[in-house]
Amino acid sequence: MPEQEIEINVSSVLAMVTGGRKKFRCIGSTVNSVFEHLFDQEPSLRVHILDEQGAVRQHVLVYVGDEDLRWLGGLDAELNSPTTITVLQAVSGG
Amino acid sequence: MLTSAEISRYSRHLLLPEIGMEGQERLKAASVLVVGAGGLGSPLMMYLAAAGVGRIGVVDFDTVDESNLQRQVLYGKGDVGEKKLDAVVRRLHDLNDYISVERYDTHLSSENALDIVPQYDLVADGTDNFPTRYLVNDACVLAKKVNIYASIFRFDGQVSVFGTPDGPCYRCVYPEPPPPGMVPSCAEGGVLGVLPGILGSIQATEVIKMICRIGDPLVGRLLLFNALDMHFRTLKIHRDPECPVCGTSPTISNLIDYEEFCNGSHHSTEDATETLTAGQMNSPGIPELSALELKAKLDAADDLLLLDVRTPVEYQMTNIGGTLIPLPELQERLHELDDFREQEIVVVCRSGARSGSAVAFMKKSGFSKVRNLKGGLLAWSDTVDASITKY
Repeated sequence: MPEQEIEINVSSVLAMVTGGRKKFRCIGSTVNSVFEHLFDQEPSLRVHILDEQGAVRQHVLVYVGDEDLRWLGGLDAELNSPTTITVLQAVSGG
Repeated sequence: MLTSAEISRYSRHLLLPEIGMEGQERLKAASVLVVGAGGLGSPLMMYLAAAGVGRIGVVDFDTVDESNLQRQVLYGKGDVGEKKLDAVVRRLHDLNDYISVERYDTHLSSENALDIVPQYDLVADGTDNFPTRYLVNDACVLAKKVNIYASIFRFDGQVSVFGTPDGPCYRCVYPEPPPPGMVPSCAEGGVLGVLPGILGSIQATEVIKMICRIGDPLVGRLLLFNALDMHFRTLKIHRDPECPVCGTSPTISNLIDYEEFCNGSHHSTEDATETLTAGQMNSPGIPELSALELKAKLDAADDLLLLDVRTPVEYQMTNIGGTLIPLPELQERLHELDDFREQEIVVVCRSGARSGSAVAFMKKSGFSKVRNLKGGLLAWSDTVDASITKY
C-alpha cells in the first residue's frame, strides 16, 4: 500500500500543547501510521488524541477529508490519496 | 393573530416571503428555553426577543461580573453585581414588550430539567461547562425537544442542531466528555469577546428557522468557525445507532449524575495527571489549605515554596509572588523543583482547579508536602487581599 502525504490540521485547543502550531505534514498509508508520524513530530499530542488503549478519545473528532473517521472504520482506515485530516475537540465555553 | 402594532413592528420580517404573516405568527406562538445567560445567551436572547418569539425562558443563577462585560453585551456597567436574570428581563422587555420572559434562578439540574424543558418548544444551549452540556442534551432527547447548540473557546466556535427525530444528538458526536483537566474553560484559556456574538447570533438564526420551518437547519451538520482565519466549515455528523440516549437500544432513560459522568467514573485516574493542561479537577484527597491559612504561613515566614501554575499572561495580570511554572510545562520542568521535594510547597492558580491537577501530579512524583490553595487566587482576593484582581 503506497504511503500518502497528508496534511493534518489540529484545533486551537490542541494547538495549546504544540506551541501554537496547527498544521503538520505527515506520511503514512493508514490513519494510524499518519498519526504515529504526527506524534513523532509532536509527542505531546498523543495523550490528547488517543486514550490509554490507543483509541481515539471520545471527545475528539477526526475527519479524513469530509468524513468522520468513526464511519470510515477507525484508525486502520486506509489512505488511498493525498488528503487533509482534521482533528478537533469538544469545547464547552458559552 | 398579529395586532396592528405587531404588524408594524415586525414589518421587515413580514416582507420576507419565507417568513410572512404565517412565520411571524409561528414566532409569536413559540416558546424557547435559553440555558445560560452568558456570552452566547446575550445575543441569542436579544435577537429572539427582537424577532418576536412569544415566550422566552431563561435559566441562570449567576450575577453580573465586571469580567462579563467584554462579551456579554446584554449587560452594562450598571448591572454589575445584580442578578443576571433581573437585567435579562429588563433588557428583553425593553427590546420587545409583546413577549413574555420566564426566569429560572437556578442551576439546571437532573432534579429540575425534566420539569422545565418540556414546557418549551425548543431549547438553546448556551452553557459553559460539560456536565450541563450533557444534561441539556439528555433532557432534550428524553423530552423530545430540539437542542440548538453552540460552544466557544478562544477564537473557535461550533454550532449544530441536535435532537431532531432523524438527526444526531450531542452524545452521537461526543459520546464522552474529556478527562478532567484536558480541555480548559474560557475562564482559563480566554475567549475573543466578539466570538459568542457571532455564534450566539447563528444559534438565534437556527432557532428562528426551526420555528418558521424554513431553510436548511444544521441538522446532521456541525458548523465550525475560526475567527483568526475568518473561516467557516461544515462537517457531516451522523446519528449513532448505538448512542446510549437516542440510539436504537438506549441505556439512558433517566437523567444521571452529570458531575460524576464528567469528573469521575469512566476516566482513567492517569488522565488528568498525564495531560497536565488547564484543569477543572476537584479531586477528593488532594491536600489543600485555605487562603487564610496560607496568609498566616507567609506572615510567619514559614519556609515554603509558592508555586504558580498559571500562564505567564495570567501571572502578569495579577500574582501574589511565587515561582511560575505553567501547568503544561510542569512535567518537563519538574527537575527545577528537585531541591524542594521534602519542603512544604503550596500550588496556586486562578480557581484552584489547575493547581489541584499539579498537586496530584507532584504527589505522584514524590513531593511529600505539596498542597493546593483552595479556591485559588479568587479565594485569596475574597478573603485576604481584595487588591488582587479577579478575572
